[in-house]
Amino acid sequence: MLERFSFFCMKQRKVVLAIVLVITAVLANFAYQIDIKTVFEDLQPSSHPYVKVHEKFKDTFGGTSIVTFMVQSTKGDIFQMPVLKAIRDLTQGLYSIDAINEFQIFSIAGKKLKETRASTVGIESFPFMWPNLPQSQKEIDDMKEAILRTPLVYGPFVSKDLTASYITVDFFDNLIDFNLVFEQAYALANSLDNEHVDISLVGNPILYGWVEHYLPETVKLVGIASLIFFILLFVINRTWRGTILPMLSGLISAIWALGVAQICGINFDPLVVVVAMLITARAVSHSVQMMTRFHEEIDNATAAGTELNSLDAARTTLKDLLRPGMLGIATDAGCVTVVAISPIPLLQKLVVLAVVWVGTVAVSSIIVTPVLLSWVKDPKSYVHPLNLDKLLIRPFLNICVNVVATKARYVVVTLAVIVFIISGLYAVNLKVGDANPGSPILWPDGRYNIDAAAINNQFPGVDRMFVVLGGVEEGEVNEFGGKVTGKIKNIEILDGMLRFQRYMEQQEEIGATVSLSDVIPSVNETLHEGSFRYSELGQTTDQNGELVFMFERASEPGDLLRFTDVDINYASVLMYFKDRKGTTIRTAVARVKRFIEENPHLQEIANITLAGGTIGVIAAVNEVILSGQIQSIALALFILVMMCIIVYRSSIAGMFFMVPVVLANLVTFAFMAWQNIGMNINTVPVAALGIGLGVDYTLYICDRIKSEYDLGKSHLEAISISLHCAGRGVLVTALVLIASVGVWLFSSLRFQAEMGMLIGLWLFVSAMSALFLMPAMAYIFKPKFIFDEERDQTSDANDAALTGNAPA
Amino acid sequence: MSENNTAAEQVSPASENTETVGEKIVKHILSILPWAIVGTLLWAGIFVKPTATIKEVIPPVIDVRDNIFGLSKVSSDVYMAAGNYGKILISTDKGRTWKNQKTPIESHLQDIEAWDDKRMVAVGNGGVTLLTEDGGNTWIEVESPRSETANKLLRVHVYPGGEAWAVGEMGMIIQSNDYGKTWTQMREEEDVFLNDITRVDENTLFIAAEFGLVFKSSDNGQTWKDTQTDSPNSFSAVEFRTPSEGIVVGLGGAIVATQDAGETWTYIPPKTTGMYEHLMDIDWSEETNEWVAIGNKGKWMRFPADLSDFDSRTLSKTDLTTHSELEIDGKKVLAVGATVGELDLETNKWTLLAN
Repeated sequence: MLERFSFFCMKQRKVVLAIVLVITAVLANFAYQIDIKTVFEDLQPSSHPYVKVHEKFKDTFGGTSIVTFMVQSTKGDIFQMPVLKAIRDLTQGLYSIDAINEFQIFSIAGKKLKETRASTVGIESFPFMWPNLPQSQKEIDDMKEAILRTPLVYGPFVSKDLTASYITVDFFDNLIDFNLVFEQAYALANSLDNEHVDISLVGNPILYGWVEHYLPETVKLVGIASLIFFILLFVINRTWRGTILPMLSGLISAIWALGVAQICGINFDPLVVVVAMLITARAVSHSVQMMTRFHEEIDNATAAGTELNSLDAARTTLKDLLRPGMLGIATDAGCVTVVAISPIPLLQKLVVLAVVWVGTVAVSSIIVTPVLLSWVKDPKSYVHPLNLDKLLIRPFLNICVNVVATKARYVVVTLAVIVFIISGLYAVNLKVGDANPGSPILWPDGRYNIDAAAINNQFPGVDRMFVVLGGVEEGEVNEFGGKVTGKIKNIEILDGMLRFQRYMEQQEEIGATVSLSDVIPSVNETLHEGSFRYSELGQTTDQNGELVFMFERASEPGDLLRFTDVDINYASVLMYFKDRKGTTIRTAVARVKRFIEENPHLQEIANITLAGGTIGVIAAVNEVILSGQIQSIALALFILVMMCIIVYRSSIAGMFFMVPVVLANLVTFAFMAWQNIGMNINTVPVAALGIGLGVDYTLYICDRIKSEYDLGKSHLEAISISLHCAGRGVLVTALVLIASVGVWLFSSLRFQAEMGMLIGLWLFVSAMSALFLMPAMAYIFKPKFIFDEERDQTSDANDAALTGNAPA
Repeated sequence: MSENNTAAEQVSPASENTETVGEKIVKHILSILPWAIVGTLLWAGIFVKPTATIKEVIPPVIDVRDNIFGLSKVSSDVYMAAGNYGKILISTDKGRTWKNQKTPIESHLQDIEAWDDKRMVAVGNGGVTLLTEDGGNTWIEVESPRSETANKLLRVHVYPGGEAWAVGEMGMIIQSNDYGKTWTQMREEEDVFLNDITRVDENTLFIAAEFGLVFKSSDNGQTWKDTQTDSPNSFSAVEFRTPSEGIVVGLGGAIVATQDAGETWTYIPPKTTGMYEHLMDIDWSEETNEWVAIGNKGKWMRFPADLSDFDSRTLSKTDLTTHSELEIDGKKVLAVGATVGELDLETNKWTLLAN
């Protein structure tokens, strides 16, 4: 069948090429229009209960798009005119940023933060400096006193040392454009930055704004990587075809994939660029295999004294490499598909993109490359005289053959076992979620992470999680048959909230928590002439109802919205986190659950529900990743094993090909654990795509050993031929790809640099196991699916002659 | 894997026609093994859900959110403190470190006092009275008179022979003569907050109340007479350094003083003292021969017995929290409230403890 297919392709090569060209042209048109952006909702596993809670309450209790500013006085406290003016100007400047939710601006210069004071009419509340700045030193001093008296402001919005002020603004998720927010927010901050104040800003829109900001650099790096790639291929292959064809394969498959993605309405996340590189690397790798084999066919014919035309050489190449090539591609696609089990839309979209992309490699590399090769006029000509094959590649491959032929093969296997064990032990430490404070996407010394550290140092924390309490049953009505309101004012719930907050704050990384229950004691205290002994909740539900009512009467509608919904049936407990580390978030979530478990009565009336806000969503993502971690690896391996079993009709084949895959992945995971790179939404796709990566090289090598052995060669002869042909392809691609992946180390995005390193490592381990370990194992164990027993055994005797060693 | 491969090696040489029993077994295992691995992978893929390891969090003895309202000196080294959520603490090293004691209640405790290192009493919200006779190893709640309207005992003081007095909301005054086992209500209830009580001599007691009121009993608590002082503000603490010389302090920096056992009270307004914040507690320092008072927003003050010079200060630039009670030991003042700390009367330096 393979023969018939390749014969057909070659016979109709013009038609095949024309079809490919037409499709490419059409898809290029689509690919050109693809949207390069991060869609934040795509990062949320929509079916996860936390995300449902988040979506329901994000407009009230704060979403994931909050931007936080810090105005830090450079000298002395903030209570001096230039600093206060900067705070005021910044707060008012926020209104000029697109898509802001003006009801969610919190600043001491805004009207949401107020001091409650006792007065002749009961309780009144006063903004600190809204709408006007203080006019005199006395007014500044009064304002300072007022801030010191208000625990919900002194600490959370004015730092404990009084030198910094904290300002937050939320956005409407459906209107937000990260890039625009990024530009406007930095423009605002920079316009106010002077010798009196330093302004820091963080938040998801800013973070993803940075990623988009570096997009031109990313494009430049892709260009440089391609250039390096081009030069190396040219130097090593010594022909224009050997340089251009692999790159052409990469280009065609990229165009096809991006075009299809655009047609399916899938956007291209800038962070996915590394994944794209991984797949392109495969396209190139397959193409180089084709090329190498083609040249070998020509050379062999020449050596045998016959003349082989390009068409025949291309046909043989296609026929022989169709099986390992297709198997490699199918395995890759299958392993990637497993990721689609994850309920995270980003990953699902990525799977579509990746599967299409990997699939197109079947056409772009495996068919197009030999078809184009079939037109080569003078297949023996070279462009330049520098023959690296002679100088470097062949000597190296000879070493590979010698390793297999000598006892060194046992050393290789032993080494592999040692690496296997050590990296296996290390890989256990791989963390789900971010492993370091700050954003792992950016370098620690980048402005964003420096700002984040500065804010976290002065304030309870930048990232928030809220849990929701209370709620009304469907169809529930009050005693008069009307709308139920005020369910949260129940003393047991309010007291439970305070106990819950206290419990949560015991965790070091939670800088502070706030809820309605924090508002009430200060109202109560104010009503008792400011006596500290009354800084507590009212003793009964009725008393608390009155206290809340007093607070509401003294404030504007919506002032409580940070803490409760309009009907006061739901309340939030808002927690400020110092970092987004996986362990921090898991510990917090586990503690919420434990608190619920230990307070069954409270849970019955208060119904504490996890979890919203940035941290709530990350918690959901991490849970999904954690629970899918073993699942995706196991299922990917399962698919790999099954495919090998089916294609080679041998269960041993499945086991055999698992070795390089497991080894490459263990080493990479160990590296991630060692470098503190956590498994998060950005790294998971790379890890998933990497699972299939290890096997491609080995498939080509083992398949060639098998076909040579079937042709009557001895064990060692077959291995030697395979290493010198398929092995050359492996070595060349690995060299070229590792060199071009190295470019990413200079990326301004730490994530890209780390992923570049990971991919490089993957390629290296895969290549090494394909060149040393797998041939050694094949020779030591002689699995039947490679060395078919039915065959005539006499040629084995040649082995001794070939190496001067007896076979094992 | 390696086990599997070793097995493969043993079977592979196909030229051998005779197989031993061992080889047969190995061959069988080998044919099953791949499928076992495939099955395991599938099973793991579908069923295995890893669980995360969670970091244990050890709660601090005194939480940032904790309010410690009451403090009692048992000896120079040993202190007792009481606070929110039924919290009772003991320190045996002058307040440097504290240990939690187990109490049977969840409501806030406002004050604690000790007769000796075994017998102690604590009072608080809901009119609760707690008792221990073994240095706090076991605290039990005892019956005490309650109001129908509202109950909150704010201060308790103890005197030799098992005597104890506690005051609180709704004009509540209760007394015990048996180390706190039984309590008697000493005055009809009335809508007035009584914030502190002190015994001056064998018959005379004073109470600091709200709205500038001071109560006095000259018959050991049987009858009470109230005096409206010139202070417009409520009082929070009363202390006498001799049977005739006493000070009452209160909210908004209010201070009234008597030199004649409470017959007349002199109001010293904030503009004289420079203290505008609430004063929550006051004590006489024998060692430095002066009054020391402590209160809101990190404020404290010191002044001599002749009221000639008032020195109003702030504890520290960073600790602007409220403190509700103090105890003096030599030249050191231990104070509790939103934070726990030690004030050095020589250097005026404030050191946070336990937080």
